[in-house]
Amino acid sequence: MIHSTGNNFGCGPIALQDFQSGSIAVLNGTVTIDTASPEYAAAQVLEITLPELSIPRSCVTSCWMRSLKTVEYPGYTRTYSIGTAVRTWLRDSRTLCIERLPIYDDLGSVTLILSTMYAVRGVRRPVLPGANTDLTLEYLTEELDHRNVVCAVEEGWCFLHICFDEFTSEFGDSVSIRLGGFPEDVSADLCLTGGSNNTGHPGSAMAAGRVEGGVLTVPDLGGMSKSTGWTPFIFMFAPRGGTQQGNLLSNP
Amino acid sequence: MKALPSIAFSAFSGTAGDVTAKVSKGRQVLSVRATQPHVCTPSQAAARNRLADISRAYPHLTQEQMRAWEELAAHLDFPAVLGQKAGYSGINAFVCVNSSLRMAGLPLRSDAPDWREHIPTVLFSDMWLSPDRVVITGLQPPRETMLLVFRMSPAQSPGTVSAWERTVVVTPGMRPDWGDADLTASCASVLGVTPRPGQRYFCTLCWMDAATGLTGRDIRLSLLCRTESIAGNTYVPRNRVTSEGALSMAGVAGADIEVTPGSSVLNADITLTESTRDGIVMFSLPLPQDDFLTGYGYVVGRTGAAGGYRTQTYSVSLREYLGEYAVMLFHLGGCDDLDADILSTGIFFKSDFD
Repeated sequence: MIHSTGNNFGCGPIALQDFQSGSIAVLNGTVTIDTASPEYAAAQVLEITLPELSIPRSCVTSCWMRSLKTVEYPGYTRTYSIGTAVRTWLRDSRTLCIERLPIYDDLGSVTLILSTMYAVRGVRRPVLPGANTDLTLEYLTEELDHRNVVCAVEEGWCFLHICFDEFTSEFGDSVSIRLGGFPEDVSADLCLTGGSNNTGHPGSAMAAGRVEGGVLTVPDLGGMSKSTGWTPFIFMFAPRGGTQQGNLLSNP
Repeated sequence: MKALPSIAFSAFSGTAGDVTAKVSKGRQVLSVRATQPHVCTPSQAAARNRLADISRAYPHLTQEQMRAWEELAAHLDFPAVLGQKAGYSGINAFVCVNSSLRMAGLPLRSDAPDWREHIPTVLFSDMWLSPDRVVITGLQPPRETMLLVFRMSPAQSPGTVSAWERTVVVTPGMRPDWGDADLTASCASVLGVTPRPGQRYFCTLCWMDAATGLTGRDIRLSLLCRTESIAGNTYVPRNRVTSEGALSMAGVAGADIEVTPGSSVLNADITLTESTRDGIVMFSLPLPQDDFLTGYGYVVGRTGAAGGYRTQTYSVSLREYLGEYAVMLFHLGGCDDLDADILSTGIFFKSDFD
């Protein structure tokens, strides 16, 4: 676990789970930003100052940015969870940069979810072949139709990718899946995204979740569903050996 | 040549037509007068115009700005002439700094940079100068704003031991790509030929700060063109695939993919434009002669502003296909609009596609 020493968007201390080696850094954690803060308004690029990392800088990759939009209908309201991918990179060994994409600034707050691998380029060494770890998915809630289940388990970190072909839910529905074969020492934040978004705001449906002890849980799907051209998916990197409680599920 | 009567004395001395005769150290010397051919190559013309343009800008500076350039000139390390260090003026410093900036395609500056700024010499780990490639690796720019300036000249004869003053600018300001400077194409373009095996080349390297136009001290290299690096190493290419030189591109505007060695991690920077078949885009390259990277990976992307920033996931496949080296992308999850950007580190699995 690493703790930030500062940021330029008016947020308090930020804790991130980490795995670091000579060519990669895997960071996992959540940051909630008040979009009304003057520091956020002044920032061109969101910067988090960290203790010195093992890699001098990284190439550009992506993390998730999520927000909530409440829509009033005659007689009832619905809160949709929406989000997109934003660019992120390590500018140097102490500065984590995140693209400032202002599409949700009018919604009051945004949450950044880092479930991200940062990597260097330009190193000349042989590629070590990765291996897919076969997973068995046991649904603890209503069964969904999944495909493209990809899992890589490495020393210190892991990767998970799942697409959901058939997927319907009501507001308040959750999904919980026991991932047989997934390392049980992973305790990390993730996003389920890619479903349809009819709020009028940019982005896709994006629900917050977590994987702990081999069980993946998304407590509120926010009415997410698959529709033509929209297929929900999970794409996550996480450090292994994390035991601390993340703060994603307690934040919007 | 014929000796004209007017200079036909016991010792020739004087000029007739294009011929000059003189006695030097007791020996008769005849020389043909050098004439200005008034031939100007396009690059010479550009260089002269550049210097003239910059010089003409100097009188328009304020007195304060000129004083700052004078102060800089007093501290700049100009080369000595005939063993004596000449005094240089503010306009010399102004032209020197701004011509470097102009050559690198950077905006000119009216204010003199701080002469106290230190620019370190170039450090690198290895260099290959062969007919196939001119590549420097392991460059460590001291700051983000530093650009590499590389000059080079072939030796005119095998016995030449110094020709650094004849070097021409191969690159006036290259930003190293993760420590690499691939100068192969620039050398071929500037010198007109690729390096010849066994030929000696004189090279200089220095950093130029793009923010100030100041350059550091040159390091000088006298290198023989050969297959191995100057440290005796064989060239090992990066595990990288780009769309540069693609034989065909369908649905891809540009791509730069690299696998991080020592792991199963892939980084992709790909701009997609459209789908050619159901969810599939691709580009193909000539099949490499040597070993090449094959496998498949998983990355995320998002549509652009027009596409509403919708999230996506793709698989990337690198393989031999119909006698070419093919890079294919298959849309897997999220929005299926393929006008998108992939900027993602993902996972990579090797495969021989048997």
